[in-house]
Amino acid sequence: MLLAGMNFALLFAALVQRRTRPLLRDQELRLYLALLGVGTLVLALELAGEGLYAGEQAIRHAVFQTVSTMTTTGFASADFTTWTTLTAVILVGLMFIGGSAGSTAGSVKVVRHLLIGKVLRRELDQTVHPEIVSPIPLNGSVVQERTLRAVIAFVLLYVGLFAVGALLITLDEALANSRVTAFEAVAASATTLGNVGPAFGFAGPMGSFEPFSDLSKAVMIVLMWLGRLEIIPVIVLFTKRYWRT
Amino acid sequence: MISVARLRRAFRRDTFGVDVEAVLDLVGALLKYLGLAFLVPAAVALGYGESVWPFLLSGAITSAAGAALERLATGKERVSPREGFLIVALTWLLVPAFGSLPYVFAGEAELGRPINAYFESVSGFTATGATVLEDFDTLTRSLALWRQFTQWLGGMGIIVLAIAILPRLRVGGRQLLQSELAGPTEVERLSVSIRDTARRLWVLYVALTAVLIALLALLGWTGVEERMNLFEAAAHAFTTVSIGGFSTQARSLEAFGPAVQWTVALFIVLAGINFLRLYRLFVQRHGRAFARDEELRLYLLLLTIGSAVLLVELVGSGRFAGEEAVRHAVFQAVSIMTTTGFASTDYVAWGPLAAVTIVGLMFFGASAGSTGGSIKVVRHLLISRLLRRELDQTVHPEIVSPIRLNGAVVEERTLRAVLAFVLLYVGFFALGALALVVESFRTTTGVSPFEAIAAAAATLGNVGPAYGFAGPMGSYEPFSPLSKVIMIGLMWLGRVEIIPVVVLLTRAYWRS
Repeated sequence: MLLAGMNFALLFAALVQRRTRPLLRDQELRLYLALLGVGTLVLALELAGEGLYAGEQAIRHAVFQTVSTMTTTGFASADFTTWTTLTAVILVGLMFIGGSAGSTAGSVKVVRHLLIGKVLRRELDQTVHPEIVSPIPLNGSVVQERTLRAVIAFVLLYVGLFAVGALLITLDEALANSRVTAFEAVAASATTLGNVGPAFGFAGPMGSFEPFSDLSKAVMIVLMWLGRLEIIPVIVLFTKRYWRT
Repeated sequence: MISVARLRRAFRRDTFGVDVEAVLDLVGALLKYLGLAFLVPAAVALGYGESVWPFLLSGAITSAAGAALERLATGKERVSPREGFLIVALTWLLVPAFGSLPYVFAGEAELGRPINAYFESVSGFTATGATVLEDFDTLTRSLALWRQFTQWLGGMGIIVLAIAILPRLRVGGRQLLQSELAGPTEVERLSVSIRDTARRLWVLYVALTAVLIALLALLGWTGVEERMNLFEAAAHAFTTVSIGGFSTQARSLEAFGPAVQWTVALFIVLAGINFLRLYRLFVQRHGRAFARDEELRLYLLLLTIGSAVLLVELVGSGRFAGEEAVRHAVFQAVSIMTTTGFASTDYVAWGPLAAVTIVGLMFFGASAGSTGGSIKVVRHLLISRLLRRELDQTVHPEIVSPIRLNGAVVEERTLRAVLAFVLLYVGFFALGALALVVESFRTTTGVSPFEAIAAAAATLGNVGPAYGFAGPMGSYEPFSPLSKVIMIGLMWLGRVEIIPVVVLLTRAYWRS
C-alpha cells in the first residue's frame, strides 16, 4: 500500500531505470511519508495510552490503519470502529489526504495539499507586501498559475460535494427512519468520495453498507464516481458551454 | 526607567518592520474610552440595589491601563495597513481581557474563575454567544446586563472592523461591500473616512436596537408576553442586533412566546444584512438597488432553504406541527445561519438531518458588512462563480472572463483573498475540531466526534451554541481549561477573519 500510494512515474524511474534521485528528492513523497509518520505516531500513542493494544500490536495496528486509510485502500487489521473518539476523527481526517498523484489512490492527494499550503503562504506574504509577485516552485520548477487555480477549484469542489453528500445521506436516513448518526453519515460521505471503502457504525471495516437505503446507496455510487474521476470531468458535463458547438 | 527607555527603543520601527509603539498607542486610546462603558452596568446595579464596585473598579483599571499605554508609547495619527493587522489582533484580545474584570471582581460562582471570565468575555465581545454559565438564577441583574452589553459593544466594533478596517487590509475586500450599488457619489460620501462611516452606521445600529427594545417592551406592556419587561427587552435587543446570542434566560428564547420569537427572528434577518445597504435603504431610500443586490438575494434564498430542510425534519419526525413547526424551523435556521445562536427550542434533541443541516448552516454566515461571523454569503457567491469560470475554462482554455458582482468586475486579487480565506477557514476548523477531540479525550470530558466538530464550527463561526452538553440550553463549562483556551482562540480567529492573525505569524510581516 505504501509503495502503491507513491507516484508511479517516479517509482518506474527508480525501480526500472535505476534513477532513484527524482524519487528521493520529490517534495510530494517527503510530505506523503511525513503525513503517514504523524498519523501513525498519534494512533500508536493513542492505542498504547488507552491500553487497547500494547507493544508490537499497537504499532502494527496504528501503521496498518494509517497507511490503509490515508492511501484510501480500506483494508483493516482490526475493527477501528471500536477504538476511541480521537482515532475516529483522525481516521476520517486521513481520508481527506489520499496518496500521491500518479498512484491509484483516491481523495484529494498529497501534492494538492502541498500546493495549497504554498499558495496560502504566498497569499499571506502578499497581504503584507502587495507588491511581491513570486512564482510557486515544486521540485525546482515553477507551477503555472492556471494549474494552481485548477487545484484550488478541485479542493473546494471536493469539500463542497463531501458536505452535500453527507447532507443527502442524513436527509435520506431521516426520511427512511433508519439509525445513522450524523458522524456516521459524515464518515460515509468522506469514505465514498475519497474511494476509501469502510466508514463508521454499521458500515465499518467489518460491517457492510447493506443497511443503507436505496437512495443513500445511489448517492454514494455518485460520490464514488465523482471522486474517482476527480470531480471536474463530471461537473463539466453539466455546463452549457460543454455541449454548445 | 532605563528598562522602559530600552523597551521603547526596541519597539521603534528600526527593530521591527512594524511600528509597534504606534499600535500600542492606538490600543491604549481605545481602552481609555472603553472604561466609560462600565458606567452602564454600574447604573443598572444602582437601580436594582446591587453592588456598583465591580464595575467602577473595572472601569477605572481599564481607563488607567489605556492611559498608561498611551503615555508610554508615543504614536502618530496615521498608521499604515501593516500596523492595522496588529491593532486588530491585539484589540480583540485585550478588550475582552478588561471586559472580563467585572465577572472576577463580583466573585460570580461560575464566571468568577479567570479562564471562565475570559471565555465569557471573548464570547461576548466577538458576539459569539457561547456561554460557560450553568446557573442563570444566581446571576445579578447588573452582571447579566453586562454580558448582554459586551455583545452590543462588540457589535459596534465589528461594524467598524468589517466595513472600515478589514477592507483596507485587503481581507474583506472593499469591493465585496460597496460594488456598484449606489451611484459613485454615494460610495464616496459613505467612505470619506473611517470615523465618518462608523458614525453613520452606528446611528443605524443604535436605531435598530431602539426600535427592537420598543417593540419587545410593547409586547410585554400589552400583556402579549408576560415575562417581557424593559430589562429583558433591552438585554435581548442588545444581543439580537449584534448577532450575538447571549440570553438572560437559561432556556434562551424558549422562555418567551411565539410573538417575541417571530419579532426577534425578523430583526436577526435585518441585522444580518450589509449595514451599508441597510443605510442606503433606510436613510437614502435606494429601495431598488437594495432589492437587486445579489448577496441579499442569495442570503434570503439560503435562509429559506435552511428553514425548509429543518421543516422537513420536524414535520417528518412528528416533533412539531403547524405554526410551531414553521416557527422553530425558521427561527433555528435564521439564528444559526446568521451566527446569532439564540434557540426557540432545544435542537439537540432533533434528528441527524437537523444536526448536519444546523452545523452546515454555521459555515454560511450572514452578509458581509453585518455583525455576523463565519464565511459570509458574498464569499460563497464569489466562490461559486469562480468554480463556474474554472469549469468553463476547462472546456475552453482560451476564455478569459472577469467575475462580476452586482454588475461590477471583481479584481482577481480580491478573488484570491477570498479563496485564501475560505481555505484557511476550513483548515482552522479541522485543526480546531481535532484539538478539541484530543483535549477532551485526554481529560475524559466525553465529547463525541460530532460534538467536537460542532463546537469548533460554532466557535470559529462566532455562532455560540453547539451540540451535546454545549447545546443552546447547555453550557461550555464542562470543557477542560485547555479546550476553553482553544475555543477562545477560534472565536478570536473567526472574528478578525483569520488573516490578520495568521499574517502576524509570517516572518515577512515583522521584517523591516
